[in-house]
Amino acid sequence: MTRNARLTLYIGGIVALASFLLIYASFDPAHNPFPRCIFLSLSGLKCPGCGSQRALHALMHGNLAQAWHYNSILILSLPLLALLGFGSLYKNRYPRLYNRLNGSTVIWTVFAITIGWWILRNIFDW
Amino acid sequence: MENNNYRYWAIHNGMRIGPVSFGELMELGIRQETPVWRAGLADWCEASAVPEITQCLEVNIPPVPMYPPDYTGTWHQTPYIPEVPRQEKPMPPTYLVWSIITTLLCCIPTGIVAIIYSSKVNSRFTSGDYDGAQKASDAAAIWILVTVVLGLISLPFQILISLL
Repeated sequence: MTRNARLTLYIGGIVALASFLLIYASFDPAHNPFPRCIFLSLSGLKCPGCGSQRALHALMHGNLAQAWHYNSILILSLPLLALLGFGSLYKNRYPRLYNRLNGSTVIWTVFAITIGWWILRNIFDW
Repeated sequence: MENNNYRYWAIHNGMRIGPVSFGELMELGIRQETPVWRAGLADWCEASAVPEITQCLEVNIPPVPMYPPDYTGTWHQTPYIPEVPRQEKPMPPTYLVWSIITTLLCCIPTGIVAIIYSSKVNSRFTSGDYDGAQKASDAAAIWILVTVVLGLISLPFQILISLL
C-alpha cells in the first residue's frame, strides 16, 4: 500500500469512527429505531455483540455502569483493543509485546471469553 | 578417447618426453600451453589445439579447484557455501483487533471464525509453516470482511424489524 493510500485510509477511518460515535452519543438506541441485532431477531438468542449500541451510547455519556450492564464484554475488550492497537503501531519498537499480544494464549483467551460470554448471557439473561 | 593408440611427444618442464600413451601424457600434468605432437599433426602445437587432449584437460585438470556438488547436483567453480539459514520472515498480521471489533459490533457471530483463524496465524508461524500462516491470515481477513458485509446487508432489515 502506498503512503497516500494509507493516509487516506487512516483519515477515512477516523472520520467514520468520529461520526459513528457522534451518532451514538446523540441518539439513545434504547428509544430510537436503531437496527436491532438480526441474530437476536432471527434466533431469539443474544449474540456476543448484543447491547453494544446501547453500551456505546451510555459510554459516550460517561455512564460506565450502565454500559457494563448492556454489554460487559465490550467494556472488557476496550483496554485489550487499546493495547493491541498500541502493539501494532509500535510493532518494530516492541516486537516482543506484539508477539505476546498476537500469541496463542491471548487469542484463545479472547475466544474462550467470547464463547463463554455468549453462552452465559443467554442462560442468565445478561 | 583415453584408449586411442596414438603415441605422444611433449615438452614438459623443459624436457622432451615421448613416446608416451595418451594416459601417460595426461598423468604428466601437462598444461594447455604445453607443446605436444602426435602422428597426424603437421607440427608441434599447444596441447589445447589437440581436441582429445583439450577435452581431457577440461575434465581432469580444471583451471580452478572444483567443490563438491550441492543438492542440485551441479559442480561449483566457486567455493561451496552451504545454503544460508532461512531469513526470519515477519509474522503475517493476525487481525485480532478487527476480529474482536467485528464480533462485538456487527451483530453477526461469524467474527468468531475470524478469531479462530487469528490464532492459527501464530501457531502455524511458530511451527515454521510460513505459507500456512499467510493463508490463515488471509482467511481471518476474509471472515472479517464477510462479517462486516453481512452486517451491512442486514442493516436495513434490522431497522425494519426494530420499527415493527
